[in-house]
Amino acid sequence: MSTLSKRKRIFLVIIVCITGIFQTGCAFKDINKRAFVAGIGIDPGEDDDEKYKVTLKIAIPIGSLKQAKGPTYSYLSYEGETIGESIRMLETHIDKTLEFGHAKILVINEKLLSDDLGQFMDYFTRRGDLQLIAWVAAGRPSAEQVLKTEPETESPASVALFNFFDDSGTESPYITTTFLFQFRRDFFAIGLDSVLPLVEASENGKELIINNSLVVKDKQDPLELTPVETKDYNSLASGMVGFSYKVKHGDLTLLLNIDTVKMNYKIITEQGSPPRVDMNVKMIGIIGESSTDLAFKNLKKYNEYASKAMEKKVVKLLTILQENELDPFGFGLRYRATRLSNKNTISKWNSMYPNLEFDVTVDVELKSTGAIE
Amino acid sequence: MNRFFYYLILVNLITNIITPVPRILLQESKNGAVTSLIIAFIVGLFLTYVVATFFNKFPGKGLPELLKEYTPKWFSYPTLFYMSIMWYVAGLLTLITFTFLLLRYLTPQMSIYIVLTSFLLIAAYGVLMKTRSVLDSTEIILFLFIPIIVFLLIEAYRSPELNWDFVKVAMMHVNHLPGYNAFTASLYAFIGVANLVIFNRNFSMKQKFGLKQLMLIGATGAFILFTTYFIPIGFIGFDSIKDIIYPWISTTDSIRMRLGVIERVIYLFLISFLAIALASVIIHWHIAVQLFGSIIHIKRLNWKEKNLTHYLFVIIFLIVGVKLTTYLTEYQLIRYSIFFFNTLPILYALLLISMVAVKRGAKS
Repeated sequence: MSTLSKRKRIFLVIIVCITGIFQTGCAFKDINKRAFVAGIGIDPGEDDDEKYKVTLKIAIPIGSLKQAKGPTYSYLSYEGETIGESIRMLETHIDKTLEFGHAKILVINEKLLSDDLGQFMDYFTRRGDLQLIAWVAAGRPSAEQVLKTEPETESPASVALFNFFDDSGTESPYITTTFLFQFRRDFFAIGLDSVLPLVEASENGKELIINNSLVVKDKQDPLELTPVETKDYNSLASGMVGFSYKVKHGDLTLLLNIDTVKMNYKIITEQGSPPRVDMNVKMIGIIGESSTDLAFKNLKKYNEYASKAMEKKVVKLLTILQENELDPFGFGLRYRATRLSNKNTISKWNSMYPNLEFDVTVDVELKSTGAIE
Repeated sequence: MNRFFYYLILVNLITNIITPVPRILLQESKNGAVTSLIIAFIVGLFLTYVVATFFNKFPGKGLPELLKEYTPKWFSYPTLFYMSIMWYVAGLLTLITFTFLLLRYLTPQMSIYIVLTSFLLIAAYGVLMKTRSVLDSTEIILFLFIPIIVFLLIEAYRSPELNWDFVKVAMMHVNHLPGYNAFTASLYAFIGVANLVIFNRNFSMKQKFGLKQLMLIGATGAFILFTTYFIPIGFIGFDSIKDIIYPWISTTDSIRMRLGVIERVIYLFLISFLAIALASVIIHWHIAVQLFGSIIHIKRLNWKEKNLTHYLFVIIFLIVGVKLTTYLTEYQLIRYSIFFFNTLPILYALLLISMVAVKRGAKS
C-alpha cells in the first residue's frame, strides 16, 4: 500500500464503504421473509370455470434438525384460469415472499397431459427463477395428492419425492427421470417425444410408487408404458441398469442382474427394400435368480436364451410405440441428423415411420451365475 | 507473440457468449448459420493474421500515432473518431446485455440503477487505469476465472442430457446460403485482434507471429465458436431454440452438478462471466477513451498539472450508458446489436485501408 498516494488510498476506502451499502444480503429480502417452494403441482380445476388448480408444497424453516419430529411442510392451493394468475393469488395467502428458486419438482396431473401443453409450459420456462433442472412428473390420482404424500421414510427437511429422481437415494431402471428443460426440448422437437415418469400416490397417503411412465405428444392422449416397458425403455435410452430382466426358456426362469447396457442403432433407407432400423444392444451382467440349478459351463447357452428373450421384448416395445405413432427414442431426430436438411425431410419421415422395420440384435454377456451355481 | 496479445483475443472470444451473438446465430439456425460460422471463422482468422503482422512491424506504436504521422488529417481524424465510437458501442453492448442478465436471473428485485452503478463504478476505475494496468488486470481476471469456465464447459460436454442428435440436425443445415446477420455476429468473436490499435503501444518488442501462433488462435476460436452455437442446441433442442432470448443462460441452467457444492451451474456461470464481461468492457472503453483522447484534447481542462480530458470522456460514457440501459428494451437491444454487428465489416475495411495508407506513408 505504501506505493499508493494518499488520495488514492482515500478513494479506495470510499469505494469499499460504498460497496458495503449495497451488500444488503438476499436482494433486499431476508431469508426469514421468504417461503421456499419445494414442489409445484398442477391439476385441472374442480370448479368448472377455472382451468387449473395449483398446489404448492412449501418448506417451513425449522430451528434445528433435532427439534423437528417429522417433515415440516405446508400446502397452498388455488384455482385459477392460468397458472401464473393462481400463483399470484397464492401470494396473498401467505405472509412471506414465495421463492421458486428451490422448486425442484413439477407434478402435472395425468389428465392435463392430453391438453395443449405448450401454453402450460410457457409459464414455467418464461419466468427465469424457476430452475430448468427441476424434475417433471405426471401425477395420479392427482398432483395435489402426490405432493401431499409424506412417506414414513421421509426424513425431516428433505422431500422424499426428490430422492426418487436425483440418483442419490433409490436408483432403479423403473424410474424415468425427466428434467424440465428436457421435457420442453423433447416436447417441441420434431421426431422425438418426451417421456414422463408417472407418480402414483397410495390411498392412505403414505406411499409413493413410481414405476410407470407416459409417452407424451402434443394434443394426443399419452401412452402409458407398463413397468416392464418403462424399464426396457430406460435401459435402452439412457443405459439405466438393475436387477430385473426376466428370461423364460421352457421351465427355466432366470432373473438377470445387468450392469451395463449399450445401445446403438442406424436408420437404413436403401432403394428397393423397406426402410429399417438396425439396432444393436449389448448387455453385460450376471444371473441373479434362477428357478433351477445352473451349470457354470452352460453360461453360453444362457447367453443365447437371454439374448433371444430380450430381442423379443425390445421389438415388442418398439412396435407398440410405432403403432401409437410415438417416438421416444428419437428415431425421427436421428433420421434428420443423418441427412442433409431439405423441405421434405420431416414429411418423408412421417410417412416412413409407420412402415419402419426393426432389426434388433441383442447380445447378452453373462459373466457369472452369481455366488452359487 | 506476447501473452497479453492472446488475452485480448481470448477475452473477446469468451465475451461473445454473453453478448446477443448466440441469439442472433440461433435465430438463423434453420437458414445459414452454420455456413456463416465457417466463413466468419476463415475471415476472422485471416484478419487476425493481417492485423497482427501489421502492428508487429511498428512495435510500441498505436494506430493514432501511426495515422497522424503518415496520413493526412482529413483521413486520420474521421477514421479515429469513427473507431472510437465503435469501440464505445462494443463495450456498451456487453454492459447492457449483462445488466439485463443480472436483473433477470441473479437479482430480479434489485433496482436497475444499483446494478448499473456497481458495474459502472468499477468499469470507470478500470478504464482510467494505465494501458499496462488494464492488461495486468485482464490477466488476473482470466487467471482466476478461466479454470471455472473450463470446468463449466467440461460439465456441459459430458452431461448425459446433452443430446448430440440435435447438434447433428443443426449441422445438417449446412446446405443453406450464409446470412449477413449471422456472418457479422460471428465475426464479432474475432474482433479481439483489433484491440491492438491501442494496446500495441505496450508491445514494444518485435514479436514472432507465424503459423504456430495462428493455429493456436484458430483452434481456440473454432472451439469457442462451436461451443457458442452448438451446445445450446444440444440442451434446448433444435426446433424450439428460436424462442429463447438468452440461449446460454438457459443452457447453463440445464446443467446439473449432482455432487457439486451448488447444484445449479448457472450461478457459477453468471459470476465468472460477469468478471470476463467486466474485463471486456474495460478493454473496449479504455480503447475508446484513448482514441477519443488522440483527437480531442482540451487544454483548458488542466487541474494540478493533470489534464482531465479523459475523465470528461468517462463521465460522458457513464451518462450515456445509464441513459441507454434504462431506455432500451430487450427487443431494441437485439435489433441495435444486429445493426452494430452489421457495421463491423466497415470497421475492418477502415482498419485495412488505414493500414495500407500507413504502410505507403512509411515507405516514402
